[in-house]
Amino acid sequence: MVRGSLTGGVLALAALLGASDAQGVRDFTRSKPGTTSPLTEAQATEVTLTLTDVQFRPIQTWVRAAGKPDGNIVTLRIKGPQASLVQPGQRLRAFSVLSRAQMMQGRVTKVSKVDGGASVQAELARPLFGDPATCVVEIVTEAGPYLSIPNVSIIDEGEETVVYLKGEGGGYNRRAIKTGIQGELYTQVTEGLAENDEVVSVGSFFVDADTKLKSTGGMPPMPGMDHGSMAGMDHGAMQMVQATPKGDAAAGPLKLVMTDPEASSTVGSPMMIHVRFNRPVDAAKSKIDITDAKGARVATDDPVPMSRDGTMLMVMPAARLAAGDYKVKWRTTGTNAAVLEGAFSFKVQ
Amino acid sequence: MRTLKLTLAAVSLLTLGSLLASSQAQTPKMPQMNMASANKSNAPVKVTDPTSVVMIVDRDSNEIGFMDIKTKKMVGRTFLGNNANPHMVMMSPDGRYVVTGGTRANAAYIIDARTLELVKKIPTGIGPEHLSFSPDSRFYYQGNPDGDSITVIDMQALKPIKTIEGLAEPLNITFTPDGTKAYVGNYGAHWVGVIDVARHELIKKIQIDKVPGVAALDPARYLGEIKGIFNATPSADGRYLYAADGDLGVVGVIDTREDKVIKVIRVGHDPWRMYLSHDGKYGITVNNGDETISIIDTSKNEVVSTQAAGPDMTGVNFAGGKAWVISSTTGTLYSYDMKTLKPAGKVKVGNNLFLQTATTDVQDEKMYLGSATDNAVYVVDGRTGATERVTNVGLYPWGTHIMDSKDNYCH
Repeated sequence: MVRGSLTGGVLALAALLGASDAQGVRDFTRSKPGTTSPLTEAQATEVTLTLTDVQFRPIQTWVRAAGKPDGNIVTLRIKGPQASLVQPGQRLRAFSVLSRAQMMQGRVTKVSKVDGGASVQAELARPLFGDPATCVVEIVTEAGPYLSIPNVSIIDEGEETVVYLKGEGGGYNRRAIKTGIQGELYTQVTEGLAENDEVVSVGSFFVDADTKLKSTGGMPPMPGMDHGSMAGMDHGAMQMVQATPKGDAAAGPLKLVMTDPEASSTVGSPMMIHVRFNRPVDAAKSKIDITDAKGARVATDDPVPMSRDGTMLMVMPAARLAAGDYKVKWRTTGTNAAVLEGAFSFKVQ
Repeated sequence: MRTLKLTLAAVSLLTLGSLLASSQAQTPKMPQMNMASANKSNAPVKVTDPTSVVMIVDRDSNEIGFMDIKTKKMVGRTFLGNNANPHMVMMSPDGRYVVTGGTRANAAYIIDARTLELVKKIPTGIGPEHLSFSPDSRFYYQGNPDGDSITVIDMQALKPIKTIEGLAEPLNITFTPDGTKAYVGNYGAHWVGVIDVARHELIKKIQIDKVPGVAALDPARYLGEIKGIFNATPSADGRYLYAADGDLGVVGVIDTREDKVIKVIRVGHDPWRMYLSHDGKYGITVNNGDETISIIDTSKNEVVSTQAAGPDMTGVNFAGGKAWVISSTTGTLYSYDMKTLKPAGKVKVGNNLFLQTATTDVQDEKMYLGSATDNAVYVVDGRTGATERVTNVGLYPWGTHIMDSKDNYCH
């Protein structure tokens, strides 16, 4: 395959992904997470795994700004949407920029709207020590109560926000949620959780990492390959983990153990074609040809190994496969020098 | 394939960038707080402003009392349970909860700061006394001196998540202003424990000074009932800690950047702990061994004045430009002018009193002093020394606390 057509195919793929399945692009760098992760007690102890109830709580947001003290009066300007949170009577803390240890209590006494924000005046319990020219002011605003969870429970994956709930048998189930107000310690949950659900708080990143690690099974993720969400791939039927050979002795003679798409299946336009064997094969001595219903050859890259154990090969069509019937002919040489060939068909709808 | 990877990486970055940009652009509008429905149990709200009350530890009536600062009326009491024996009380920095350790019950008690309802009782180590909050309110460290441990309580889950072992009669706990480390005074040893708050693990022991060779000649004093370190008091900028050691008669100055003792300051006999003036310029140790106080200039880390005081000193408060030293068994307050560093008179609070500890309001004007034997809190004017007795605050008031006060301590 010449580089020009490869690049064209890549661009087509990238454009396709960018246009129709942007989330899938990010998944190239990570595997599709599983839905549950059992942790050992030792692991849970090590990360001080903690569960927190989903409850209705007031949500505090501390609005921070630089203030100019004059005796026990501090004036400050707050810009942006947070300005709308500040009201007279709210309590605050002021402290020198040099140290939070010397903070002073106070109250908001006056709020005036100005362009793009608010001008705020506050009165401190007493002047700040050392008569600083500027200080940091934290105004405590509160809203709610709202159904909320600790901030530390939330894993923001860009395209979705997830938490882990305790499930049956010591497992932790991943759940996508939608959130609202984010406060200092808690975040409002608008969808995905109910009161008294228990979410993982301390240790949520560990559970997330563990889930992703375990969900990859015997096939670690590779750049450019998404086994979870890529359009056109039917992974429900692949069962790769179960098909992974455990060693030569158990594997027997070289044979095909699965294809993707499955033989005789009807699928969406696949990005990649995979064939997998029970033994490692030599990609350099392998060939995968795709032809359409008229027998015309579909342009592809050369086969590349797609698993750490060397049992899987992949080719990528240079362009999106149109609807119709396709035939895949493959030939490979095992690392034991055995040559194997075969073919299968599938239909793109 | 290299081209493929590069292109995909570029597309990934672009997509990630646009996702981040779109998420940042959405700032939710925050509705206003409905105080009436803020508590889940629908119990009436008794305290609408966490800064408006003095919390009182009533050791023998097993309750925490709440007194309104302006009216000096009790607005609520939270009964903890029989034989709880609370020792110290503190409000979380976010004003959500009030907590105390029950020494005889081996339990921590968590109270809703609005409704004053007891919301949780959590088992701790043995003999819980002093406690502290991380600055972000996430963790409550409960010291268990009889169990030589600290119980770490997650204040979001309201559950104990770890027990930090390896301490020696841990008393007071001091968090750094950024909340990354906590320092533990070990009264049964001569070292300060450093705790990594991310892992809740004891990571270092800082020996304040060498135990003298005379320890071999007088083991009862140095190796028997040790009077070690009660507290590590932070400097105004939070960088240094001042740890007084009772047996050694010194204050060790710890640099928290390197967790090393940079200076050892000799003070009077049997110093209890150091109290920092609110402007951070001076530290005062009360030396019960010789009934003196030592005043340390924190800019030089030197004792600049030593003054006579009284017996059984339990604390120092700063109000009205003076330092007020509590002599527990004599019912007397000794005052010192913080400009001249000279005595400024004594106030006899009453006869047959057993004074405990006090907190100071945030204006640095008035002190609220627990008096155990007459079940009262005395409100002391820091300028004039005038006292006002508030009775029936609970049985055996042992300590007091005001949110954000600079004199929140226990004994």
